[in-house]
Amino acid sequence: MNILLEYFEVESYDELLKLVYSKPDDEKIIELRELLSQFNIEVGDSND
Amino acid sequence: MTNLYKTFNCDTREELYEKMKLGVDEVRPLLEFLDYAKISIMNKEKNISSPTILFETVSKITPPTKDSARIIFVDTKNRPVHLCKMRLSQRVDIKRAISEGLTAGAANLFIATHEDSKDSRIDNFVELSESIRLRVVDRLTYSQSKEEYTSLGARDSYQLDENPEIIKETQNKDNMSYNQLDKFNEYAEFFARQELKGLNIIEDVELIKEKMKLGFQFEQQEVLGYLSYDQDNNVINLNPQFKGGVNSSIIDPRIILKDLLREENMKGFILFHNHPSGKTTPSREDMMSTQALYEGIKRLNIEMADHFIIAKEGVLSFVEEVETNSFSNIEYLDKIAEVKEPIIEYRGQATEKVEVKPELSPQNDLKTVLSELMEQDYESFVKSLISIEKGINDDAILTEMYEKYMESDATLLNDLFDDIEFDLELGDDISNVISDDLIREKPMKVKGIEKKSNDKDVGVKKSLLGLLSKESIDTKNTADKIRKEVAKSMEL
Repeated sequence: MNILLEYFEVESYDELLKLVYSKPDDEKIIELRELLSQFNIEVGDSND
Repeated sequence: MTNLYKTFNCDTREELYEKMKLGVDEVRPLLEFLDYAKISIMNKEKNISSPTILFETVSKITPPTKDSARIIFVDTKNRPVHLCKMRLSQRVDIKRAISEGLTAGAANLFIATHEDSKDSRIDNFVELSESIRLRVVDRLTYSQSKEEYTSLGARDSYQLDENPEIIKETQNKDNMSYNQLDKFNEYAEFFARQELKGLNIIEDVELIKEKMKLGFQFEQQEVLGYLSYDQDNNVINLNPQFKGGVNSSIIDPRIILKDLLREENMKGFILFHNHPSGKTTPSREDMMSTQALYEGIKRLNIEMADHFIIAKEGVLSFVEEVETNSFSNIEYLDKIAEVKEPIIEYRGQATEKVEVKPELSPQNDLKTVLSELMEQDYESFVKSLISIEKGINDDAILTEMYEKYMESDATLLNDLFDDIEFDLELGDDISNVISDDLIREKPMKVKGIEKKSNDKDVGVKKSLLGLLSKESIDTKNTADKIRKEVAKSMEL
């Protein structure tokens, strides 16, 4: 059981990454992006 | 709304961040996703087409440790679809990783391991992966001291795979169009939810077959699926996964495992598929695919009790009816036999055990023993008879003869008995019938020695009778024992 995938209701990290790009303003995604940015990973800019 | 940090049992975002920094196992999915995001951003070409790109890719992710490998799951074009950290020593973790990879639609994978990881564990995983048709494109070994990877394959480029893509539509049965939702689905869903669920795969096996036949016998396309069961051997789910062509073999371990590994409380499964042709006869490919699947899932500690082929003419059980060295679930077969033995069919209804006392006569005793021998090891039984009748001792020849016999329409008794039966049916006097027909019969031969006297014949028969008593049955050595006993009798 992968709780991250369950939380975002996707089936793979590939799908999750696509979700990050496609729904940058989603509350859940914003929280994930903020977490990633702590590790210098910038994906799915909400201003795009 | 639940927050991400709460999902990972943290009280604050900062706590989650700290756990990620420390790399604790509790936040493993987040760390994996972090690595996945890194390689996706870095790899503009999207697919890992050469060792150079693979080296660049793995250099961005957390390196493997002695205990845990890194698996990059890729699709048929070697595009990463998922990434996992996996402990090679833990079967549960291997199952989890494979389940995630298959769910993500992986067709192939790359594995990176630490230089101090045990080779046997890596080999075991690679064999498992290949057996379920997840091709290992390349293996990398990480040197901690040098902080570099070496490739086992050491090729210039990675050949793209002919491995067919996992059919994604199988994941969305609930969203199928109305056309796809034909009677098969109605039946299958109905039986799964209303009738098959809760049936015991051992005690109710005939009932299960009956319902499976009703549900799938008229399907015009091949349907592949499984019946999963729990620790008590009760059916928990029927999952018709895939519809193929009219006559193509569709058994792909990846398709089956993709759903199966996500079943909760699942102990094992019975695979099934239908034959639109109406015949249950398994094709060579059916047998080979069954074998491959059986070998693969065995490594994952999942039971595969049987494989049913459903058609208009009936339901074929691989375990009960297909003689093959490849897939033989003896334990399950024995359990079914135990249940079936005391049940006597009466007007289609299973009834309580009825003890039938056979008539007390020598032939009845011998018949019982012979029947037991036949059931226990039919091949040895037939070979023994051929050996006695023809005096052949060479096992290779006996095996060849047995196989030819099985392929032919021949019966173990010769035409004489057909003639006698025919004469009797015509109403001839029994004494005339037998004497007339016996004149045409050749004398019995044992090891090339012709039957010479009635006394010897009686001795042989008595010896055989003694040999075939329950106490002396040893199916593997039946032929040798019979031969020895016969020879002994002939010397008397």
